[in-house]
Amino acid sequence: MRLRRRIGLGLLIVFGFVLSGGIGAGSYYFSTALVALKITGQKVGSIAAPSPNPNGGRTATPAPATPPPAPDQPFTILLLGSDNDAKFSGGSLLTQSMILARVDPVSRKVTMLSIPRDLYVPLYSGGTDKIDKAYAYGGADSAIATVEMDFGVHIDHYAWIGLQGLTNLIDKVDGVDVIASNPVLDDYYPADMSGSNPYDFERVCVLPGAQHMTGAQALQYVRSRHGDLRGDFGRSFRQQQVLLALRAKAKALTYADIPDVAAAIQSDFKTDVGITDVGSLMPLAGNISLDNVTQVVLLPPFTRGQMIGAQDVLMPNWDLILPEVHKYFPAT
Amino acid sequence: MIRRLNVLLLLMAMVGFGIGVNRYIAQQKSTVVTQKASKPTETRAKFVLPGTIFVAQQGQIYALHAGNFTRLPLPKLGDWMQPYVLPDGSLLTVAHQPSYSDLYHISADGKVLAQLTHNHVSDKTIQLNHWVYWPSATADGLTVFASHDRPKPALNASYEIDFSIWSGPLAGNVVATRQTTPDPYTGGDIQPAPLPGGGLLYVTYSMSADSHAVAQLAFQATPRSNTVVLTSPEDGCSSAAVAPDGSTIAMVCTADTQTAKLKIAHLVGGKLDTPTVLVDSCLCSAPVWAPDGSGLLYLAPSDATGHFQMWWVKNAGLPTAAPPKQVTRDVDLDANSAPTWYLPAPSPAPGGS
Repeated sequence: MRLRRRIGLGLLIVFGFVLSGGIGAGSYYFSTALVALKITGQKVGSIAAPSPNPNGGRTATPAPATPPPAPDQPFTILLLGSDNDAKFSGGSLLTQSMILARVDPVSRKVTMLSIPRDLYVPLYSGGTDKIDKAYAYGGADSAIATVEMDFGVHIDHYAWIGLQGLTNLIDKVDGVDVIASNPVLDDYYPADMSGSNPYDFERVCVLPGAQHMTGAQALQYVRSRHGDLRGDFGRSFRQQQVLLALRAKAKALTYADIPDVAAAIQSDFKTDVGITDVGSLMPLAGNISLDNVTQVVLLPPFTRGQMIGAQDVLMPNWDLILPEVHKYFPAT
Repeated sequence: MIRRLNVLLLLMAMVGFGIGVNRYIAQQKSTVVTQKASKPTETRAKFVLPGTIFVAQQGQIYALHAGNFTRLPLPKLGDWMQPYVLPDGSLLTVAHQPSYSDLYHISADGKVLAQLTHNHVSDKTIQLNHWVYWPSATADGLTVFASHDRPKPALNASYEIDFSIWSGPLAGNVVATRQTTPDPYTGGDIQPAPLPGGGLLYVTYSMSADSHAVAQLAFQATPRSNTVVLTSPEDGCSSAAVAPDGSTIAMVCTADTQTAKLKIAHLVGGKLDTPTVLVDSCLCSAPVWAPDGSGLLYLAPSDATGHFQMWWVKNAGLPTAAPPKQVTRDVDLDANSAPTWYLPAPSPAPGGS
């Protein structure tokens, strides 16, 4: 009888310590959990199919809601970056950056396809326009459906980040190390992150070579396009560089860093990847070597510049684009 | 009574354990999040190099002498960067403002001797302003070279803006003469390095056939003569540093990747011989030779924080080159500002002939 009491008391004490430790850990992650629940696991809904189909005869197969791939299966993720400054309201944002990535957890290979923001394509929401408007006309659902429809690929996940979120994220990991490819000079860089007039300009000069960039410097590097012969394509190359530099920095992060990182990006980041999957993806990000990253940018002859109305657009050459894309991203 | 005290102590231990778990997790944060760079003046060099080495960090210029850093007490005219020592020990340096930058001539103890350019034209029409970077000078210190973003097209005529190499007398207009004509919309021509005998080495940018921005070392045997490109577009070489012998060149080559190689080659008869790799797979930048040619300094991170430290390679360029040795610790030097090294010539021995 006494032995049973002692065992019961011992178990109670152990339970007390476990509970106390759990509360200690829980309190550390509590704020993170709230933020994480807010920004992850965003539902991708279905949007109304366009009528008539603007796709010019190709099969439209938007499939926003699909079961997630098995943990060891390759998956695709659409990375979206938006201007979300005072020029835009009500979530009607353009995507300045659109990168479709395919990650193979087994071979640890990644392919990144930069989709030019000026690409003139049928939008899933209807009509034909620059692909950067797909997000404005229905959010991530619309952007995913448009890319799936036009490129004939399946997208498993998406992640969206705003300008301030990117800046905060880079600052939170204390900057990124980038080898800037050339001097990036821009006399008409949008001064929309500070000041009272979001339509104002500022001068930007990012010097070339290996350097440690702050969030603001990295943003200037990935966003500037006026002084670059390649225009938006130059920016696509630079965006991929900074993305890989962020991945390199993420390798050093630990689970204890999650609250700080989550707090830094909380109002400027959304993804449909669940919180548990985010945890399982962190080690994967650290195990991918730069040698295993394939970068694809749709330069001419995949695209050609043209004026439509008053806007500069890029006309896609689908006969070249689709075979190239399907070399890396399985066709649906 | 004792039993109650035991229960109380047990409860306190449980609470303490919970707090301990909380604090333990907090201590597991990565150094990339927690480890902030120190000011150079809060650190000491790991070993002493002779003379005085000037570096930049977060808008300030620091002098490293006898293993200790001193901040130059420069006035707040912008973020100070890219110091360059002249033969008399004074310095050229850049003050960077949000929409322009200017060259200044300063003393080694941080007094402004002269403003050499006047690139601030307008606060309202900022496109009228100019940039100037990478100052250097001829061996006698009388002629200054720099990268400058003139000429620019008329306002609102186009977006074109590129660096050219300009030069002029230290005692006059230092951007009086345009030395190069850049490829448009590439970033242009940068990092001038005047050679003994009147030649000029610099970095020129262009776009490859597959639309990648590429850097190449370029050479003019005499001012404004035909440009000879010394390296291939595929090698992507820049940041050339000329050794005191006038022919040994250190350079950083990236081959359009996000890792670099620090290479050494020799410029003979207007051609560069096959380079040897001094440091492989690094984020190297900003090499500079010791004034006596005894080795090479460069900047590169030493850990995951990515903060740039200074490294020293003794006998760089010789078969006896030593492995790189880290000079600084815990600082975050401006990787766009090459160190510059002042080593006064030894005075003649008393009574010597």
